[in-house]
Amino acid sequence: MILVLFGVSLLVFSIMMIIPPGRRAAIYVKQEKITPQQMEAMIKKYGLDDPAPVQYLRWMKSMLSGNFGYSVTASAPVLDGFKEYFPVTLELVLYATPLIILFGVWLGTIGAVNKDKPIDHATRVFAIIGYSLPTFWLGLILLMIFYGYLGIFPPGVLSNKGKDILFSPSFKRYTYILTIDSILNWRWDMFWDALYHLMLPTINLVLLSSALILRLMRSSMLESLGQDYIRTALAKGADKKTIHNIHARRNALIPVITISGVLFAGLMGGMVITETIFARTGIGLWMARAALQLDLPAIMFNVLFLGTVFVVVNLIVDIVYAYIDPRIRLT
Amino acid sequence: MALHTAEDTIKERNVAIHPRLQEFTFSAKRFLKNPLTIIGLVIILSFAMIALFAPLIAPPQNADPYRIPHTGWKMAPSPPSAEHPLGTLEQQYDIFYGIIWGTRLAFKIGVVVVAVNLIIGIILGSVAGYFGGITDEIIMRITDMFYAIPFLVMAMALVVALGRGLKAVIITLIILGWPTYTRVIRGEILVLRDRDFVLAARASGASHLRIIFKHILPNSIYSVLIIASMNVGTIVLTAAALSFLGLGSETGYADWGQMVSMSRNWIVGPADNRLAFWYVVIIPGLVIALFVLGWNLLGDAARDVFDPKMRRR
Amino acid sequence: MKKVLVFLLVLGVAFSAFAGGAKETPKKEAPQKVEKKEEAPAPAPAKPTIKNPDTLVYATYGTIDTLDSAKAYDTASWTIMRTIYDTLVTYDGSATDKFVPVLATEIPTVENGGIVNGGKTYRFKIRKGVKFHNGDTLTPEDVAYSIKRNMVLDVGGGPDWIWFYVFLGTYSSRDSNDKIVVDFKDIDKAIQVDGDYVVFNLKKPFPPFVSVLAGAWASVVSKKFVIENGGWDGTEATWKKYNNPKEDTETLYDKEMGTGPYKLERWEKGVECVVTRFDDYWGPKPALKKGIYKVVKEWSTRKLMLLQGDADIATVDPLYYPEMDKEKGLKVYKDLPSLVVTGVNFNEKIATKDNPLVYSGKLDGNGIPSDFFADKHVRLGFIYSWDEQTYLKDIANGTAMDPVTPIPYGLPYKNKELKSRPYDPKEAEKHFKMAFGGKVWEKGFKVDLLYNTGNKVREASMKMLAENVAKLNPKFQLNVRGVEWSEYVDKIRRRTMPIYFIGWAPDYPDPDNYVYPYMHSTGTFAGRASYKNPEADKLIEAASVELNPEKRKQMYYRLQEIWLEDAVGIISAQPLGRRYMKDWVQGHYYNPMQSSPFDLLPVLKKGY
Repeated sequence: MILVLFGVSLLVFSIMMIIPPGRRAAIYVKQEKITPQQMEAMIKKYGLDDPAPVQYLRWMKSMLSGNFGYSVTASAPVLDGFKEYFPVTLELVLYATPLIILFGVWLGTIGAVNKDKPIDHATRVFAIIGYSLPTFWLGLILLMIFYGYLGIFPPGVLSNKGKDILFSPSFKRYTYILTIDSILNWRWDMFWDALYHLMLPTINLVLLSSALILRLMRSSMLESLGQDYIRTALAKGADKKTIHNIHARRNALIPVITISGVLFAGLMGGMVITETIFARTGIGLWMARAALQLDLPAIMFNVLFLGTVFVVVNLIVDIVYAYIDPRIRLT
Repeated sequence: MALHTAEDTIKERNVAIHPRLQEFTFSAKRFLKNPLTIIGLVIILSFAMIALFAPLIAPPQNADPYRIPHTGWKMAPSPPSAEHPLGTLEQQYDIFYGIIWGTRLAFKIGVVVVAVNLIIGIILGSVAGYFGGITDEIIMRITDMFYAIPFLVMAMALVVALGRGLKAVIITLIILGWPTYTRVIRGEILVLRDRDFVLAARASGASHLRIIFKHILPNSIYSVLIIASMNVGTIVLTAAALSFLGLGSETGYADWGQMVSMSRNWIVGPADNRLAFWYVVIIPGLVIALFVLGWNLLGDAARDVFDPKMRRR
Repeated sequence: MKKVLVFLLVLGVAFSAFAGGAKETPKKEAPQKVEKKEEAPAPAPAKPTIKNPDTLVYATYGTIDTLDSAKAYDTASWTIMRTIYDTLVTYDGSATDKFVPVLATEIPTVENGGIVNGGKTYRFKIRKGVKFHNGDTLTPEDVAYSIKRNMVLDVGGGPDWIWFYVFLGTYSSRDSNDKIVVDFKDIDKAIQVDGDYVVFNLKKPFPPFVSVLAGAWASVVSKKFVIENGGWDGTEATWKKYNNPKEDTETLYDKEMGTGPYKLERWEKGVECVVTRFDDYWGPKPALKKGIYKVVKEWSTRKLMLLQGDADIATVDPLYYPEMDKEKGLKVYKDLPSLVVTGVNFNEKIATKDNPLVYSGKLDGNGIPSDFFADKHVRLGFIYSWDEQTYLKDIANGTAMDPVTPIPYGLPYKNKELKSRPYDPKEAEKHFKMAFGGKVWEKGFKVDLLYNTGNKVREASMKMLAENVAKLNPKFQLNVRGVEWSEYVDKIRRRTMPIYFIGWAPDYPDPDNYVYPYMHSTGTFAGRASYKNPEADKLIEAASVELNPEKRKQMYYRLQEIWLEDAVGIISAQPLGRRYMKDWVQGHYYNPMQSSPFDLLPVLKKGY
């Protein structure tokens, strides 16, 4: 696992080092009022023209000593930026992932049980259409309908009032996740406010991503409905509903759990567009800016962080998997 | 679904078709019975026709046919007119022309990226799965690395590093896309590797290459092909996302992603008609969604039919 | 399943309602040009309630970089600093050449004894009884320290060159190898405290000096506070240690201690910055309690926020002016002349080594040579291919003027008689035929022209120029490409770009700040393009120290003629900006030196 992460850091760093130093210095240049001489001085200041291994070791050394450098795109040291942006992303992911899974599982079950009936086609088409739309397109349309026309679900993470509560001296930030902190501080007004702002991006993500779960659920449900014991039970006249809900569905959920881990990790890194549109400044948005402007410290840190999340989540999935699937536990 | 009876089997044996072909016809028949499949097929075939006959439908006006012709320099989009049947984008690029030639480009991007990914995936996956041991270990650790890298961020950084534009997008998607296929192929091969017919072939002295290509791959390739078919659409969507983030092809290029991301600023129209720019927003978005939908329907149906675990019920 | 159908239904209904509802709204004609807060009185009940009545929300796209005056060199950072810091002087209303005292008690002139020593020494009496946000009292020492500290820090790529320029006649404390070359004693001598006065000793007379002190880079900070927070202690012994700090190590990067009408409440980086009223402010008390600077990058989102009243003022790009004019409940200030001058100029010495933009790097029909643009006929060929009228009408959407030369309208010594060369393909052809003794026309050429992505006006401009040139001769091959900012900047550094876009926003509103970068051989733009005309160099240097207005005028008039004679480049536009805001925002006025309308926070009100 450490090896994989080390490889990732080496790989990403090497890619960045292919880029000539002048381009990497551009992040420190705010405007065109700059002369070539000033640029040279800038390259010298940050040691951007040192040999790549030297730069890598320098980065590694400062990282191991807990200094992740400064991110120009966050206007802050990398860790401070992370502390500010990460909870925003995490909060949305925490709400969206279970909803996506529930929605997908529900539709997938309906589809499988009613295989090849119109309702099966309808759910699939619905999900696939969601899956086929460009994220930003759907997001902007949702924003136009709900915020633009109906005047509800504004962009951002909190209203101005909510922000005032958040930054008032009496408010304690335990987790930096707004909905949780607001409950811990017993500020339900702020809780609803935060939830209100979460609605649209969550809907957007659910519409876009549930197809993945739906499809998997449907096929694994079909598979488990095809198992001999279930078919026997059905043939013997057992209650259809019980069989579907309890036996078939339980088995069918196993692959869904696997993919859920991937979904969770994927959402963490794939929020770029949703965050841009709904003006939620999370790590997705930050990383997009960092990648565009070649903000090396930010890119390196976030790539490593998300890599770690990915590896850890997969580990957890494996453990859960072994726990619920006895066949694997035995081996 | 009728059960496959012993009688059927005997009948089929008598006709003496190659068993694989027989499999295929059986599957194909099932495949075509599904209305969704037909829809998917019709969509993709129509797009293919458009792509094929693009020069006839919209005769190119520039040396590079993918450059959309434009009249004048007005920055705001213009509504459909006789000259521009579907209206124009920003800077007066003709939407109709862009859609037609964009079809060709979409096939090009989707198919090229997926095909190259598939080849890399098949080669690495079979080598890893078949030989196992240290080879497997190395290949799979590298695959893990690529899995652990957040896709969109890395894609952006790579495109920036490679210097923007369509070529950079294609290369990036190739670099980042192969691990899925490698994993799936390897998994399939691990299952087959120790099956009787492979062992028999090995005992009869067949070369590794022959075993892989003749005996193992034909039995394991369906699942990746299905993934690949669905990915053709996804690749086009990813390219569109990159365009939205400012990293796609040049503006004025007949690239759907570019066109659809141009709609971002025109979604909310002026007060007298909030949908005044509908043609900029709806048309490219709809076309791209249809294209992806087509591939997804196909892939979905193919999975139902060809996946041995799902069949014959 | 039912729920899904219901959802789809809702979507459909909402969508059609949106379309239908929108159509019902009565068409309102585009509002007339609003002259300072005058609007036709509408019947009373139509007015919607004011959202956040004691707070101003400004939605825009610029992210704030730092709040330290030694480093901030962008309008987003400055506009915040404008509300939390005071300067010695500031512009008088809309004027760019009249000033009012702020922390000084009067504007120094030769008559009142404030300017002595032949225009080389300026004396400012410092206002008494001014409080910092922590209650400390402002002293002249704080003022002197603030400016000295900027020179000591001299952050690379920052604004501090201006101080070296006026006090020492150089541009930086370091050479291009990043070594310190300035003596602290020179800095110390330039700025001195004399009783209640702060005295500035200039290297040479510099007529626009007062306007330099009106910039946000001249913000006055509390010396005590900076030292307490680990900043430079004001002594020679430590100054080198504080020179050219790396990011976020500049002391005032995210904290402040100023005397301004607002205090920094919080800065959520990349999200928003909030300032609240400082109740012990020495000057007039602001009406609004709070100001919020919100970063909203997506135009559609920003637009909706303004329409919904969640933003009071929002940045609108010229592209969207026509649609915004149809909105109700908004106020627009039109045709606000900026002091920005944009255009393109030609690189007369292109670095051809490892440069794919010039292909073969030779005049063989498959590339261009290094000195391609050194031939005036080539430059004239391009200049006559530039269609200014189409540019102004279509690309700039009628929101720009043609300033002809680098000196914009609205500044003194602007020669309004001069005319730019018209779009004339025949004339262009003639010059291309004469270029390089006819070889250009005969062999043709191939070149890539670049713009930085995201700037649609530049993109369209470059394409128009390229297409017009390519139309002349099928052997002229010009490809226009967009590149990332990083690549663009790198190409500037390596001087590989054949044609540069140039756009200059003033540091101080004086012709000197324009002719120098555009025309002096060591100026930012001319230097890059290897343009050198000894006469121009001499005139620029002489004009900057000339105190006699009539003589100055002659020099600047001559420089503007040289610009046209030498065919240095194409000056395309001086933008006429617009500001869109909710009709309940009162008290707005425009000054081209403002960083953004957020600068006006202390004087704005909300109400009808």
